[in-house]
Amino acid sequence: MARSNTYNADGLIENPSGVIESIIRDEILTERDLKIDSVVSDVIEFATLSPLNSAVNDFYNGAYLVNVTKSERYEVTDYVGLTKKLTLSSIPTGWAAGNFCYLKNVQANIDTDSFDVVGAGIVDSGTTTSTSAGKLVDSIQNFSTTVKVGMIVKNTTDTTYSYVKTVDSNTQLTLETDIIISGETYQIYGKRYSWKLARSLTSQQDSRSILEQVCFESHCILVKSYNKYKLVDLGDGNTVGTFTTPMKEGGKPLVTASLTPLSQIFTDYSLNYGYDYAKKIYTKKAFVNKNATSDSYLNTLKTNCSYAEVNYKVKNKWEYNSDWIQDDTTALYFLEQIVNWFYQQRIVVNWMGSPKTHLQYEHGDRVLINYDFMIPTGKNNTASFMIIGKSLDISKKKVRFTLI
Amino acid sequence: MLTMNMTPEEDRELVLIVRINLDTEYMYFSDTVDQITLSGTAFDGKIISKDSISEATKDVDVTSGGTMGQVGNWKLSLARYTTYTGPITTFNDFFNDFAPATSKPLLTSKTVDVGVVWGGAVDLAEITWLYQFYIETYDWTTSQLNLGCIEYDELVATQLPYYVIQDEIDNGISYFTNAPEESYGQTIPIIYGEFYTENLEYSDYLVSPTIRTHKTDNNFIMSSHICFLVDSTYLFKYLDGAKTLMRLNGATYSATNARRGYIISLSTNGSVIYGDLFLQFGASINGGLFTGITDECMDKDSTTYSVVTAGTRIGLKLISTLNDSDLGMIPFTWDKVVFRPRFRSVSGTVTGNMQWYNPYINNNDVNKLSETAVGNFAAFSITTTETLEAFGFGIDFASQRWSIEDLQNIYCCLTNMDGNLRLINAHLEITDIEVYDQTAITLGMAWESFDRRYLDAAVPQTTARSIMANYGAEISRKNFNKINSAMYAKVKGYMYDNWID
Repeated sequence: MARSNTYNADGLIENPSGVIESIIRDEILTERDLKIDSVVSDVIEFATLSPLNSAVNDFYNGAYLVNVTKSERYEVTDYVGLTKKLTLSSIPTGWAAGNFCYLKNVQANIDTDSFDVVGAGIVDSGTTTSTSAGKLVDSIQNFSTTVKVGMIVKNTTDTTYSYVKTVDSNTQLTLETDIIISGETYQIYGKRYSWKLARSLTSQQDSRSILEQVCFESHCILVKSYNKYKLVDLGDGNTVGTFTTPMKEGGKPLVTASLTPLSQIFTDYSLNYGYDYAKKIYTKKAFVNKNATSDSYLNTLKTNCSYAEVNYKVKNKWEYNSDWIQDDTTALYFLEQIVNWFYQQRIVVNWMGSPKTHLQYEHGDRVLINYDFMIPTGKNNTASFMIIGKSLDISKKKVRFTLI
Repeated sequence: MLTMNMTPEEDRELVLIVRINLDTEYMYFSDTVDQITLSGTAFDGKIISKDSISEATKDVDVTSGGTMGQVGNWKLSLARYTTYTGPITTFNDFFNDFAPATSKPLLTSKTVDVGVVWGGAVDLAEITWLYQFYIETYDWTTSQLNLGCIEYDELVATQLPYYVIQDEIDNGISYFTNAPEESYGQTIPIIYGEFYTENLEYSDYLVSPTIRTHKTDNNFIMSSHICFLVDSTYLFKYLDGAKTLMRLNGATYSATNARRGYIISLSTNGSVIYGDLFLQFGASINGGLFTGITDECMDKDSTTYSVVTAGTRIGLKLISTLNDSDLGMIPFTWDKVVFRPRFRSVSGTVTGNMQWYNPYINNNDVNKLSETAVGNFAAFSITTTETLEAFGFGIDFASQRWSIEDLQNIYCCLTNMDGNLRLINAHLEITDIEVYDQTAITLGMAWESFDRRYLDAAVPQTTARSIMANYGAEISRKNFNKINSAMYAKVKGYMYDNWID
């Protein structure tokens, strides 16, 4: 059945997480240019005309076999590596030797929760039925099915926001901050809800560069955790733990801190978007600087530009041509994320920890650091740091992290 | 955050687990002093050279914003040893256990899974898998086999879009034997999101490129996970001379949505394909009686405008460099070639007159009010309510079809009699241009249109008749323009039905 949160069957592929997931499942994890040897009931053989690559049993289970000739598709439920025979979820009608096929969604390992946290639409909304500090309680909900840790919670009565920290039950969520009391209305949705991308890929590129561009233009990171692709938005979010005790060497804690370089501070931002494929030009522009913006939605960001210019004494222009953004609202959202990312220096922490207490943390996780020996007041145990680097030294039993 | 499959107890050591997938079987190793056994599977502890295990490192450089994680890498050495009892029966002569030794399995590109357990583990389910690498290369010394691994990355070798137009291998998807030469080697575009914006008034389009797949038939192709047909009747052709798209439609179009792509044919039996063109005015007359207008009335919004005060006039002219071979045959009838200004009065009702001038006829000087216009559209009366009016050109004064060159020479003028007028924008609209003729176009059809024009009292007749004889060369049947360039289409990129999970 179709994914219920981010994607609806036959829905548009326009949300950033939908675009990325579609590219991975349908375009990358594929085996193409296949021709059927034989069809016996629901068993399709690919051994001679175009032998399947893998000889490992069950390798293609869960993949989809698309018959191009028939314009039909079935899920693969079993695979015998020795004979290269696929068993389909149903008996196809009219399939025959010689039909052209391809497999997609092969060995598809997607961390679907992470994609939902980024791309889901409104998964739940309602009115809270009781008050509990730091909680959202609604006695008629099914949160365990619909809500994922990290999603945005909006108190639509007060227009305040928080994140889902844990899904306690079908009727209760723990929030990152206490924002809601009984009788108030709320919505729960993904971090890039309502972002819309549109692009026609008209010339061949390597898929990594395509995905890197989508990640940049949706201000997200895509990382592989073991064999699963995981999507995480950059910016604020829920924390999953607290670093408290670094390893020490010669009595000194193995922690260092630095700031992002001044060259990464910008004061004047321009986004060209709305690419016209016929004219081969970008037809729209959004901008923000200390004096003006292209849209009133960006007005509050003028002070950020001014802050950067006054405090860092720099005047740097950030200009970017977006190939994926056609939509005006998405352009504003993206520019907002960019300005907030680049208007001030950020702390970069290198932290060495023991595997027993740190091995579970991975790229994209946000944590608090409670270590006032190194972390500045106001940030210590308060600011969320995202893990952007991880290194495991098995022989020395150490885990090194880079956090920002 | 990873879900650890085993909780470490006090004083339990971290144990490295390595699994090499030889496609048909696995080799298992650990970094313990001796082997450990998990769910009956032995993980050899003597083969891995402990000092050879490199750090497994991966970073995501977010200093410039969103991106992808780098591809991690790892190094590991396996010792020359005699007691290993896994699929490769001995590591004593490992250079003979793998290719290039005759009939031995290739080690390069094999998958290497790396995980951990804590001391005391007994079950395979207690392994927490951390990395998946594949063996990029290996070398050997007299004492050990050195594996160079990089993170398994499906993205490296995958080029997208995958399919290009070709006539070499029939794969049922991109195999076209009669495509024009320029199409071969071109990718079949994949679209994501919506491409169906068509704002004719402002010549603002968001449509997706397609590739021609047949030399003579008007067939074009594009793809998505599913392409959804938004508007089955139109394709769009780009006109460089006007920096805009002409909308094309055929009386016998056909279109197909399928998982293999989206195919549209504008003409299935050789009938006429028509074009609709909306040209923005780009030049104006200034000085004398003419109010100099500004770009505000030529931009793509209705919030800015030019003001024309009482007793003055404005004159607009196309600045395109189109020629008739770019278009086709412009129709005869007055309602097919139309001057469309969007305007309103500043206050009350403003009356005025619409005229057009051709500087090359009768030495008309458009800068003098006394000069006679070569054509009148109509008088108008307009209020503060914003309207998009239509003033038809009809057939030209030489009883011929208009040519685009003629139209580019003409000034369209609004004379303001009283009050103040705001001109918000204006464009010339030409519809039903006969773009691609196979068999069906005849001049006789056009003459019927001519007659109708003269029966229509809304269009002034006299002036046009009087100057017919003075007009230039006869405009006859044009050189019809074949659709020989990339087309653009209105489509949406949809999910497959139930394509996930």
